[in-house]
Amino acid sequence: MTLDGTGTGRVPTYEGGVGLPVVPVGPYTAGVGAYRLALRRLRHNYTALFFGSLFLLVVVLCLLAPVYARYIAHTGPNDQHITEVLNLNGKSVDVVSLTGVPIGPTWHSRFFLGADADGRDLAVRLLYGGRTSLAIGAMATAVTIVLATILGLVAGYYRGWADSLISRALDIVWAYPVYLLAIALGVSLATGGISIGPIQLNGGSIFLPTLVIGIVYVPYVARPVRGEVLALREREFVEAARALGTSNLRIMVGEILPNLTSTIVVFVALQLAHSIILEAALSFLGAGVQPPAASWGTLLSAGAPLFTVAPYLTLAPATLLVAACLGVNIFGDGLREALDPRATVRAGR
Amino acid sequence: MKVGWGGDSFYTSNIVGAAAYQAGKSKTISGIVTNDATGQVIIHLLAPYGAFDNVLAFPSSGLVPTGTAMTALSTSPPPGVGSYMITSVKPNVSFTLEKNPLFAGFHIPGIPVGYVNTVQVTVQTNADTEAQDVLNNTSDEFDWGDVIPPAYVAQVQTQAKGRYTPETLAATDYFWLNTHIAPFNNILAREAANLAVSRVALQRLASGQITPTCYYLPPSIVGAASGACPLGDPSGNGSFTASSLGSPADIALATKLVKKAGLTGAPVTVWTENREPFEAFVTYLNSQLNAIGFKSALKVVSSGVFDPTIGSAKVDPQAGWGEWSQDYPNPGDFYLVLDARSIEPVNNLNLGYVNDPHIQSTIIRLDKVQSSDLPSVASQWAALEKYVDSKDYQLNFGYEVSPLFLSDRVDFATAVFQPVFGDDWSTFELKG
Repeated sequence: MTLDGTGTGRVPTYEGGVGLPVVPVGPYTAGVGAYRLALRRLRHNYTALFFGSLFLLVVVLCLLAPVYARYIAHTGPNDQHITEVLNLNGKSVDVVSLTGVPIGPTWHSRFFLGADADGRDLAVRLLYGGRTSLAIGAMATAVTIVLATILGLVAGYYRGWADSLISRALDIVWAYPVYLLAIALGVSLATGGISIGPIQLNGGSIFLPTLVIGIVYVPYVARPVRGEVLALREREFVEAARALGTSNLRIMVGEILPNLTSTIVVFVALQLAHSIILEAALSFLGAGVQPPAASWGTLLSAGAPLFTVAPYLTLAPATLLVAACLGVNIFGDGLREALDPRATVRAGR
Repeated sequence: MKVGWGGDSFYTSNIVGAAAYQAGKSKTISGIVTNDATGQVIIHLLAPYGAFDNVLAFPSSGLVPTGTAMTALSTSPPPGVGSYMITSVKPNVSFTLEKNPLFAGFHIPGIPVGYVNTVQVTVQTNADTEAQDVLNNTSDEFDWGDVIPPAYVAQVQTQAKGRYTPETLAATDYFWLNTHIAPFNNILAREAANLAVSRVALQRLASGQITPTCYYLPPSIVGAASGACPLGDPSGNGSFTASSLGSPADIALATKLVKKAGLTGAPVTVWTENREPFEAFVTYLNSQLNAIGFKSALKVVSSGVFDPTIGSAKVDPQAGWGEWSQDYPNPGDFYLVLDARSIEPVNNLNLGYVNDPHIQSTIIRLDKVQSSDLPSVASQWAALEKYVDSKDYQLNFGYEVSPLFLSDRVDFATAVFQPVFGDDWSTFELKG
């Protein structure tokens, strides 16, 4: 028997079949992997693709920050040009006025989007800030997913006291509102840093907000993972592996974990948006990225007091933040639908 | 002294027996002798202290009736003598002043008796709202202790013409450079830092609300220096003399000095509190230090813990933002931050750890001069200013400016701004 695997409804033919009736059947999907199927579904979800591309565009722009800074803007993200005077269309304009108001968008290579109150090129800081925000978002998501998967796997697979211990620990973290907990941790760690054995992070390190964000979201991912593991551990293939004498670790890693992949993939996309937003909130409040490093949150914070005279200082980072988060969030939703159209799991807060 | 006032050292360091009283070792201050019959009060000092009459003028030195509790009385203050009296206090919300009916009868020359009957003060923590309220005439005075938000400066300057004026205070903003540890124990490093910083840039970061300078003593203080800034060794040898005001940053020369000192790549941490414009000042210093070859990092600390943090010998910070606002109009008060006797393991005032024999001997000699005789030693204080600049002990950059900003209802012409206490409410008169 040959199947073309295209799923287009072609009728199978039997080689050497004699006298057997040929029965037409519906569209065939046999032989198509789950991920390929998901990709097909995703390919037809134009909304998800559009927003996914939007997110990708933001990422690429931010990755190109050093190129933009060096070859177009000719200034670094922390270089201050407070007393510099620009010649715009034959007119001399201060980068920062005597009353402290920065220059607006020039739409030229230098100060394309204007300057901030400290005389720094906003476009350059916006892109560098994006790198920081996206990097923290990605790393924090990795921390959340890795920790949550391990804890969810162990709690769900072993059940009993291990489950109780892990679940109660997660409950404690869950008991605090995410933002409140993150701000409290961020503020206290931003002052003195952290020192645990050989691991030492000073207060200005971007790994601090990464850790804070990564940890506070663990229960929100670990809980659903645990639930899914509880169901999976009762399935026949797990019982079969157990009957064959496979070790617990092998069952968890080799049998259960692969079946969690689609859930985890969905969580990664949704969690990334949450992490980026929380980073912006923490940095806005001074508990995240520390100056002079730029992030979308610190840019929003610096622009807010000047909103009435220089709204672009707030609008520019806000636009990129919204574009990135909306992009990855809607793409994540599309991914969820594609991977498992019946699934109801969401990274809800 | 019993309510934990931060300036209690003005008494404990000068009055005989005050330290023992504060420590609870005696029930009275042995150095203060009173005579109820004659009304005479005699205060014995540990050593001659010329500015002591200024200390006696502190509000905390005011006389209160016998039996006044030795506790904080902010909600029900003891009576004093003045043109207004506090009649009600809602902590952190508001307080009310009413005209003192007896004050006019005292006929104290030079002290106004007050015009308006009641002054209602409402605590407003949002400077934007405060500025808007005064602009719209829904509030009569912008607190002189607040800074007009940058977003409103231009608007206030144009829209409130005739009821706004920037007043230079007797307060100096500076960067302290720790002279007892690397790299700023090297005069070349300090000189480089001084050259790398443009006072005009810092003025813009303050939305124009500082007056650029390289000297420490403000113009209203006896002994203030003027003219060219002798940054670095005034005798020459690769040193530099900049124009006193608005000196542009000389990055090239500063970089050379850092290189000459062998300090390229030397790590520096600069400290600031998380309040504008101070954070912007230190962000700029950090950027300039990096530009001239140091490896500088910025450390931002919450405002509430900034002073105790940088004042701790354990932290021993390298550089950061500092401000001295006069306690009284005497150069000796300003020089507390350069006085080796101010170096303490906690709450250190001398953050630059400056311990220079010449400065020390001059301060000790000039501190004995009575306030009334200060003009006679003005040139000696000015010479000390030049000396401090020549050693680059600290990076002075601006005299603070405060707004006298009133509503249209108040007669701006009669309103007086006091360099020490700010807006004088007893001079506020409603128009018409």
